[in-house]
Parts: sequence; structure tokens; C-alpha cells
Amino acid sequence: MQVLTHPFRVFRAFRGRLLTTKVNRGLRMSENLRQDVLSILDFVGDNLYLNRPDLEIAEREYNATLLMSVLTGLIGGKALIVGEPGLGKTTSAEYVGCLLYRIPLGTVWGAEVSGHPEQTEEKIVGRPDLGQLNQGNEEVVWSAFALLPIKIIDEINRLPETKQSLILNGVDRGNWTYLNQMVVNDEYALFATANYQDRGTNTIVPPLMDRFDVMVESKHPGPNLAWMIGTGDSIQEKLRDPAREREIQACLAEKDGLSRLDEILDGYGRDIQAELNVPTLGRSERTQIREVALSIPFDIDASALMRTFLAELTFCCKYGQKRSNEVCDEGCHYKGYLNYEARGCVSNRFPVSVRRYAQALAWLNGKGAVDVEHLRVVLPYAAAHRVQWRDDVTRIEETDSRSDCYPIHRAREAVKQVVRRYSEQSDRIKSALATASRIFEGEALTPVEGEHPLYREIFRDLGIDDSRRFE
Amino acid sequence: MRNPFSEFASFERQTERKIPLDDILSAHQDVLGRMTEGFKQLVKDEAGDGLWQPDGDSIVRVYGEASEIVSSFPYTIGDIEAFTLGAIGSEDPDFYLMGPLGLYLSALCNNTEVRSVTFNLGGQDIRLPLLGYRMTEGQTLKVEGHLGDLAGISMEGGELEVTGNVGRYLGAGMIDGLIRVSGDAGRFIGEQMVGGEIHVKGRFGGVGKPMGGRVFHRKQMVFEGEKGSQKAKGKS
Repeated sequence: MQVLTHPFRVFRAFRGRLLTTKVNRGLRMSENLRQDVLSILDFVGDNLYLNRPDLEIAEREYNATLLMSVLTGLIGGKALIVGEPGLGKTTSAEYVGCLLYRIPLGTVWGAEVSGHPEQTEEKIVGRPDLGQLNQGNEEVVWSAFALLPIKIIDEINRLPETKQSLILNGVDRGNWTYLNQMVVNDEYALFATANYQDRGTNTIVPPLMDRFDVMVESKHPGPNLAWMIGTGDSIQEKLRDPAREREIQACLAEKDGLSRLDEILDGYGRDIQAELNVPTLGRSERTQIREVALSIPFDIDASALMRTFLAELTFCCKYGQKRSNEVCDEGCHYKGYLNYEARGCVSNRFPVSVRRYAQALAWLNGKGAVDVEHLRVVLPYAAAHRVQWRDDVTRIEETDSRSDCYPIHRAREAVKQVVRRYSEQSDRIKSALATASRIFEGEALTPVEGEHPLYREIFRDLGIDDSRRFE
Repeated sequence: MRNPFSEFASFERQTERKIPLDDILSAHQDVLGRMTEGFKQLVKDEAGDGLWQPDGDSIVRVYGEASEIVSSFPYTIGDIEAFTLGAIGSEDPDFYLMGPLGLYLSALCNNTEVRSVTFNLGGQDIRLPLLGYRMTEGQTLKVEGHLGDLAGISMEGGELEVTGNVGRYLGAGMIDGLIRVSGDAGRFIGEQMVGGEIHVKGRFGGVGKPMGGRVFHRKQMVFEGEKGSQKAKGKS
């Protein structure tokens, strides 16, 4: 094993303090923005997307769909919103996109892509400029979907599986290519909605599914709220701005028209603030939020819990790691952990999603560090669509009493299990990780042993041959 | 290669809050002997045949005798904690009688001058019943872990806090005081209670037939009697 020396080790604690100070300063500076985002959340929740709160974090109640949509918008993530038709999947994303990105509602509508079997790349990404083509020039007219930072794909699972591959790269990296040209989105958030399986839907291919950071369900609001929907003045119409929508359309059609876009959007934001008394966020505000939020550190327990969770979803004592085409033996020593119930291995996108969403949530709560509670909230939504469970050994039945759709419920129960296991041995796990750190730096110590797969993974990271074999 | 564990470099294992069991037992050996002797006497008198059923009379009788026994020798909070640890891990069949044990521990808590006691029952499979019986005003009992049936019954005051789950008949017959349960609670919560408050955060098995006091499930008040304890209301 390569042993690295750390000449700046003595400064580590000091550096930690500096980092904390920097985060706290960032939090103080972005406090007004935090209040703005909370105002947007309240405004949408009170006026546009009426639904029950189903999450409580730091003594504040949230609706999960709305919260995850706002976090997606803030960090530029990708959210898959599932639910029955007509329960506000698309509209929640439209309102959040409209206010967080200061884009008139009509423009958001215009940039939406509908999933259906006849959908084409030309409608989604861009088409040849026929006028230019007649003159022998190859130019692309990019779609508003490809250019605007808020991207909504309605009913994504109505896209046939072959056509889902068309958007893989764009969804993942914001790179949209057509002919020999490419447009790269430096900032974008993507929302896709999906109905439950019916005759007209297709399976979302696993590579596309994995690219979504979170999956959330837009639930029925209950009869009382449902009866209120559509009564009173329509605030939705006030989010429209036909004149600016036309201006934006013209901008997008021009070759260098995007440079004027921010100016139009800022004007829209000012009018919305004046008329509806709700703040909106411009590009610089979003950038500032992202900088502050994504610099929030994880506290030691959150980091250790996340490692524990990852170990349970990736470890296999027999085959080295989980693979979707390999199934655990019946007598596996690690039968009590998630790895026995799960099929396949979670991708590296999973911890990235968890990290970013948990940091954004911590920022929204005004916290200087991500803690276990933030992880408990985010993990089920980040894992629900990614973890495949074995049908033959599942301990959580689909018919069990629950309030979430099955994938989220299943993931939430899995998180509860891991949190319980972690709570029981948190001190030992942290001690094992701390000892590993010292061994890594060259100290002659004995690694801490334990039953959980994480201990075995630590051994592997330390390059220590593990002669124990469990049949 | 980067050190993937560097975040934990400055972590030092916390000193155990609890002294290892052997140390505790040896430090309190004399008193423990008397406590054990007292409990065995109680079992012999009240459940000589190894059977004991909790009912109104047997609970009052066992508690009465337990109070007499524990008032005959001095002890500290540390002694109670050490005795509890030894008792729940003991292979002695007398200690399998959980009902008398819960009442004996309640008597120990109620007869000490120190008003605040913590039981660390985390990680234990055993669920002690009857703990918190007849707690009095100003007393605080915190239980880290789960409890069995009849927790906090006939409380006359004070505060019982349970971080885990409890069984049935939580706070039955309580007169005053406050019970907070972070986990689940079984059926018949607050059966025949006449005052005080019960708060349950986890799953709620159902209210019994209370006659007074208040019962809360999370933020929602599920029962309010006419004789709600004003003292407890103030605390919540």
C-alpha cells in the first residue's frame, strides 16, 4: 500500500476552523436569499400547488414534492416526479422553474417537451435552419428546451426506450448536439414527470433513471384541498407575461440573442415582485446560493452514516461488489443487511446526488453543516429509483400499509434500517474510520474489526488482505 | 492516492459515558448485595411460586413491600443504575419476573432524595414493565431504550421520558405529571387517567378510557378531559 505523508497535517484542525468560518460567512451573506427561497416555497405552496405537508425538518413543515423541486432548481439538479395524472406533477415544476429562474410561465410552457412515441430529436433538441441550408450553410435552430435553463419533460415514460437515449447526454451534462453543432448549458435544472405504468407507458431505461438525482411523488392533496383548487383569482395568469414571452422567443431565434435574455428576465422578476410581492432569483443569486450551499461540510456522523449506507448497497463478500447479474447465496453471512436484498450496485451518481441535495437542504435550514437529519430526508428520494430490490427476499411488502408510493416507501424503510444500525455502533464505526485514516498515513495500528460490511470495505481500502471468508 | 478517511483524522473515540459493568458492580458491591437480597425477598414473599400477574391489588401490594425494603438501606443513583444493569443481564430466575422488578426499581427511584434518574436500557431485548409507577412531583425519570406495559401508571407528578417504544397501558391511572414517549406506544394509552399529560411521537396504539388529563399524538391532541393538569400544561 502506498503510504502518503501529509506535511500540513498539523494545520488540519486549523483548516477545519477556517472552512467553518467561511461557510458561516457565506450563510450570513446568503441569509436574505434563503428568506427569498422560503418565500417562494410558501408562495407556491399557498397559492399554486396546494398539497399537504408530508415532511418535517427542523420544526418546519414541507411538502416533499415542492421541497425537492425547489432544491432541484437551486442546485441545478434533475428530478423525476411521479404520480397519477392531474395531481400537479408538471405544474409544480413549472411554478418552481418560473420563480426560481425568473422565466415567464408561458415561456416555461413553450420549452416543455412532451413524451410520446412520435417525438423526434428535431422537436426536442433542434432542427436544421432550412433557409441557411438552401444557401448551402449548415446551421441549427436550437429548441427552447435545449437553450433555456429550466427543462421540463412531460410524461417521460411515454417516450419509447430507443428515443430515451436521445436525451441521455443532455440530461446528464447539459450538452445538446445536433448535426455537428453543440450547445452546452452552463446552468440548468431538469424536471421529468412520469405516470404510473399503463398501456401507453414504457420503462425508463436504467441509465436514464440513474441520471435523475431524486424521485418524488406528487400525491393527492386530500378532498378538502382538492375542492379549493381552481377557486378564487387565478394567480397562474399573473405569472404570464405575453409581451416578454414574445421577446424571449425572438431572442432564442436570433443567433446571439441569448445575451439579451437576462435583461428581459430581470424585468419580469421586478414586475412579479411588484405585483405579487414574491421574490424571484436571477442568475447571480442562484450562483451565490450554489457556491454557499455546496461548500457546506458534512458533520462527522453524516459522513459516517453515508459511508455505512453506501457499504450496504455496494458490498458483496463473495463477488467483490454487487452486480445486477449476480445474486447473493442463500446462506450469505451478510443476510441481515441491505446488500442481500438489493440487486446490482448503486452508481457513483448516487452519492453525488445525496451530497448536493443534503447540502442544499442544510443551506435552506440555515445550518452550517449537513447532519444526519438532512441525510434521512434526502436519502429515500435519491435511492428510490436507483436501488433495485430482489423480489424473492424483500422484507417490505408492496401491500404493507404506507403513505408513499412503493419505491419511496421501500427506500425510506431501508434508510431507517441503516440509521438504526448506524446509531447502535456509530462510535465504533467512526473509530474504525479514524483508525483507518491514521493507518493510511503510516501509523502502525490494527484496524478496527466489526460485523458491518463497512469494516470489510475499510480493510479493502487499506489494502489489507482479508483472509476471512464467509460461505 | 488520497486518504479517503481524512475527515475522521481528528476523531477520538468518546470516553464511554458508562463505566464498564464490572467496574460499576464492584464499586457498588455492598449496596448491590442488599438490593439484590431485598428483591429476592420481595419475589419470595409475593411470587413464591415463580408466577406473578399484575392487577390492581398485586401491584399495590408488591410496591408497598418494595418501598419498605428499599427504605431500610441507603443507596445512590449509581447504585440503582448498577443494580438495573446487573438485574436485566442476570441469569438468576428471580430476575426473570419483570413485573416485580419494574415495581422494585420504581420504589428505588421514588425513595431516593435525588429527583432525577436515567436508565440506559438501549440495546436490551428486555422491556421492563411498570417503571415510573407512582412517580411524584419534581421527579424526573429518563429511559434511554424501550419499556414494556404499564409504564408510568398511577403517576402523581414528575416527568417520565422514554426515548424508545412502550407497551400497553401507558400512563394508566395517572393523576398528574408528564409522560413523553419518542417511539411507539401500544393500546389503552391513558386508561383511567385523571390528570397529567401524555405525549407520543411514534405510532399510536390507541387511547384507553381516560377520565381526565390530556393525550397527544405528535402535535395533535387526541384526548382532553375536564380535569387536565394545569401543572403539566405549563410544562409542555
